[in-house]
Amino acid sequence: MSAPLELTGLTKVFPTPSGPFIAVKDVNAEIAAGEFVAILGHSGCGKSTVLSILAGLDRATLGGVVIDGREVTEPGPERAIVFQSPCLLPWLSARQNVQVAASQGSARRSRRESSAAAAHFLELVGVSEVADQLPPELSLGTQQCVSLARALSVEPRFLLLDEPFSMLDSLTRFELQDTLLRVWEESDRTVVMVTHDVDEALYLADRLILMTDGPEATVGDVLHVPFPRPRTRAGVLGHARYHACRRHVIDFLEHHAHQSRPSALDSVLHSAV
Amino acid sequence: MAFLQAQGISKSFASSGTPRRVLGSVSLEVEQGEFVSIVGAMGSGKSTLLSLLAGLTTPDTGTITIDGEPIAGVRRDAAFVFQNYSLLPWFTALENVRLAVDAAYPEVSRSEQLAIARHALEQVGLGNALHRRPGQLSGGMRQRVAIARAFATRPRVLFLDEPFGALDALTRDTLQQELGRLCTEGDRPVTTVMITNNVEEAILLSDRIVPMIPGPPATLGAPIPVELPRPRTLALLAHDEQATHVRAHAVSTLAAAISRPKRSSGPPSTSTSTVLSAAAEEVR
Repeated sequence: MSAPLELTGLTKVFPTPSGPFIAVKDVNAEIAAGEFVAILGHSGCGKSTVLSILAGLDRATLGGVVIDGREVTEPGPERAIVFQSPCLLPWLSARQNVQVAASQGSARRSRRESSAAAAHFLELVGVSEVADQLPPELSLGTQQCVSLARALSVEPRFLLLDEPFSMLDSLTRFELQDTLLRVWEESDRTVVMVTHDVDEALYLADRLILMTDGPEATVGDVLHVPFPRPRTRAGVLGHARYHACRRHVIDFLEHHAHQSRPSALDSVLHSAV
Repeated sequence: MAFLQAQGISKSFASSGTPRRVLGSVSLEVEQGEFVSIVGAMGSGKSTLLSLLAGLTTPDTGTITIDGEPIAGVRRDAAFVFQNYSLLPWFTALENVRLAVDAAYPEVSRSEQLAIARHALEQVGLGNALHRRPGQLSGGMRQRVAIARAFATRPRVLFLDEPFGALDALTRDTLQQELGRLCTEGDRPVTTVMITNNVEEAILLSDRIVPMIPGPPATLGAPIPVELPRPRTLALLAHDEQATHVRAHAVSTLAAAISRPKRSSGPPSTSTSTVLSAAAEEVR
């Protein structure tokens, strides 16, 4: 039985005036049901490209994403995404923003059911008191909470997060990480999160996929995060292996991220592009 | 007695008729030469506290003394660095710094003031941008001018209000380390109070971190000592095992101290949970 979410030989080539640019090359990964995976790498290494292809917003040039044995070719309600910026519709209240998504989700919902779902998910992420405010009236952190509620309201099997907290100050970031962790630990969702924050990845994820620098970015290393669940920040930071794990990731980013490995795909690629 | 001592200070602002208590009874002690950071969320009242300590505004209650003297306005031996640089746009970098030297040492000759200003700018690596105006400088360079201006007067006490908040990550990393060096090295380390919402920055620079507990009214939590050797670098924080432990302790203590009960942007109503728990106390 294969994993429910697979990246197989995922490669993305962008055409440029100076010839083809291989952004991401031969990314392979299997993600288990209910797993929390973080994709970590320097900015510009192609992390977001991988996530866009996962979301079905972009197509791979070679290889691709397989969910339950079917290739992903377009966005679908079993996958919801939270971007770096909240991307809420500014003329709709927080509640209405979530409601729009809830009505288009995996479960067919009536207007009343969507409204109830919106209330539920806003409550879940702890922002129900601002439900009737417009996004511009809310702080960035609160907007991002609404954005998370919107993604959850689709009832996705896969929650895709593209640096969701990187625009926030460190205290707000802590708060939203705690919210996400709590929501995820109480559900059976699979999460794929792109981040460049080592501590965030270690706090939240089961497994880190470390990407080498682009061009031709690929999976450089995989780290299994050993901290027991349910996790607390103090528990993770105080864990005996915390330093070793953090050190491992930082060493990778500082010394190994730029060493791309030769791949069996090389010959195929060069004939393809 | 500590060099900087604040005892039971509070501050209210009248907004739409009803006064709003921003700072509860807050006390803080900073020893001579110490670097203390006050870390809190946006809008929690950090800047209000800094303004009070610096003598820019006066508290409703409580006392503040620096070097044994009660605060009455801005001290001549104090210096500031603000997030928005606060440089005069029609003056060159050199003139901006000289103006501060003139304010602190009006008895010194103009040429000597210029020499001091030039030296201060050279110290922050701006020796070749002396005659440029702020508009001709990048954000990072402007903040360097502001830092040079602060140190040119050889202040005894330094107030930093989110000094790196407006800078990109790379510039911020460099400037943080340079500021740390300027504050703590030399024959006479300057007593510094910095407010920030950046936990990493506070750990890199501070001897002690004081969490600001959100209110209103906001109060201060128990100080967290950061016992790391100096000079500190980001590389040390990334690689050293002892540093990881100190950092981990600071982060988890801070995160636990500062958890905001509400996220509403509107003026929070009287906290129901406080009322309820008070009622519960009475029942017992």
